[in-house]
Amino acid sequence: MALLNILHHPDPRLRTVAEPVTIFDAALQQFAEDMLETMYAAPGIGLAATQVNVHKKVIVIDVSEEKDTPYVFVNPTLALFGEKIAGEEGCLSVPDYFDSVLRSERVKVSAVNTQGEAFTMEAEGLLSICIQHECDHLAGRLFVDYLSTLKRNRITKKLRQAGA
Amino acid sequence: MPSTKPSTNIRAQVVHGLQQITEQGRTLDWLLEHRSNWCETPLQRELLYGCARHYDALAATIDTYLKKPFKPKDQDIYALMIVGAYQLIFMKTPSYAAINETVNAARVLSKPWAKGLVNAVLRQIDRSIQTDELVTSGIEWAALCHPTWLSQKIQTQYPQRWQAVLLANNSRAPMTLRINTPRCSIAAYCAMLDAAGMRYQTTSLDETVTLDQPLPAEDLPGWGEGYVSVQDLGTQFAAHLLCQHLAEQSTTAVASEPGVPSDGTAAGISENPKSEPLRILDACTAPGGKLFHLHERLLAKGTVHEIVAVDAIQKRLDATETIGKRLQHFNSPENADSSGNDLVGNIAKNSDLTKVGSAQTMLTISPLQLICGDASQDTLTAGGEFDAILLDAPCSGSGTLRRHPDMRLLMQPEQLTAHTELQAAMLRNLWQQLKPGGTLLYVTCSIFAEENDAVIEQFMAENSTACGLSCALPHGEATHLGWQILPSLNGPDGLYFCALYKTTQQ
Ligand SMILES: [Zn+2]
Repeated sequence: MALLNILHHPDPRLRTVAEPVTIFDAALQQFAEDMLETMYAAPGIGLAATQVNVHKKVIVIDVSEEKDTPYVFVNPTLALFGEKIAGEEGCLSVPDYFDSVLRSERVKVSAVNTQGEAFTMEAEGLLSICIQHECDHLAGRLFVDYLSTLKRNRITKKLRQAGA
Repeated sequence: MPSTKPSTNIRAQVVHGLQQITEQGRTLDWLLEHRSNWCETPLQRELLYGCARHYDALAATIDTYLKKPFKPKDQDIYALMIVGAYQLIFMKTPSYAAINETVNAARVLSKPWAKGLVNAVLRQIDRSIQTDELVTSGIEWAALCHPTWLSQKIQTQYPQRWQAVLLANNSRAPMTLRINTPRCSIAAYCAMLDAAGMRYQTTSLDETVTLDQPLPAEDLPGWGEGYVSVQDLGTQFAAHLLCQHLAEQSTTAVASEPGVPSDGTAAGISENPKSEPLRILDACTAPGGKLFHLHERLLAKGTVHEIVAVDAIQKRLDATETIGKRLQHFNSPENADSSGNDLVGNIAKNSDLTKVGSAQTMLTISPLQLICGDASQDTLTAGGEFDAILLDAPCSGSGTLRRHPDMRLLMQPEQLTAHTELQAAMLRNLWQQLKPGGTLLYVTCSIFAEENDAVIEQFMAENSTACGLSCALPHGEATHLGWQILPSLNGPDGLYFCALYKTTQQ
């Protein structure tokens, strides 16, 4: 097990679009476990491979109170349902910043597990928000992209200073 | 996505803050600047400062209940236990609430497995408090709150008083106010405090009071008007010592007997027969407390003066200027309020000396000049020689441990001598800029001889023109060459003063 390094906005690598996973081997299994460990240690409820500078379609999520319900989604695709509702979001790649973002109320995920077996899942609430947020990472998007240019510039500037 | 918005759990934030100090070597000042949401509320601040102050002793207490040390990745749980133990011992929270809230914070830290352990350890600590087994008010606890090398060093240097120093370091510094007497009389300001229901004690200095209850400075009466500053009592002796020596200089100059301290009183300055302003250099001025105090003292005495204030960092000079503006020491003369007997004095920033007067007193507007420069470099020639120089030298700050509770966690033994070369270089350089017959006041907020007497002794050995002047203050004691104030409960910080007179003959 190993903790992975999380990239911070405005790192350009966060803008990379991830490739689908084609090889389902022990290395993929290990990578998913490392991602989970990194997410729990952060502490976080979701993490995308893009954030640890691996540009493959893998996300991990655990929104449970007791941290005992981990999900791994490989090559996820989303179908969005319901109204757009506002929820407060943060991001491990945009430390200490939180803001309200509009997301679809419900989501249906189609994905495969680390063995390459297909499954689908429906989610709502925090899990739905988190899945949408992490899938955005795989497309090179960040939650701050939904904010006004003014707000985004302010955050970018602040984090650039913090990184300097 | 992160687990929770950080501001949603106070204890978790205090844990992050403590880890920044103990693991990353950050200071509380850094946290205040960069992670202000971690120390936003009074409770967060109390927990963070208190845990830093008592960290080593709390850790030692917790360790007695732990079977094995924590892994590096679980140090957050260890820090959480420190927070819980601090709350149990030093705050009025009922035990069950303190324990429950701390246990719940383990979940916020995403370590629900630790809840049982945190609960068990805190319950045992609570029991040992109830049975008086754990004593946290005495010298043993205070000593545990210092790194061993530091408490031993204090003990070696002050074999009689080390216990009082350790206890004072563990206390909270009082909030001491300096009344800007040229702008507001002492009586008028005390009446404002009375009216606001703020209780205070008088001190050994007329213009200085200590509040019974600290509060945010902005809440003080007359803060925006610049009637008052917050400044430690000990540091306020710098201006008084300089004024005293300047008075002696002027009277001895008349008697043409340099080197012999006369019994000249402060009033002697204003009778200075020359109309030339006294030129004073404040060599390491930021944040300007001593500078503005000195200026206020000289204004109050009606002494014609100009002060060149130097600091190496422009950002800190900017902050100094902001403070000076609040105190109305940089205002333009047209805003001057010359109507009252007490409310007087606005100072032109330019170099022209302008006189304004009222029927009662003749007042002089004196310039304060802020300059960015390095006091150890001879390029610092601010236009000629000075009648007096204040050197508030960079030092370890070992006399201010109670004000900076994180320092005991961060301080290393070598830091006590890290500044001595710079201190000596500044002394050597500034001495060139002192007029014969002038006085240099060397000040540190250190309690260790390495930065105090030892630096002066070395300097005097190299400079035959330097001779020591006696200092005597209402707090502290004479050292071999200077004067040492030790930190005390409700008293001043630890400070060192040494006044050096420059003889006219070689
Ligand atoms: Zn994210």
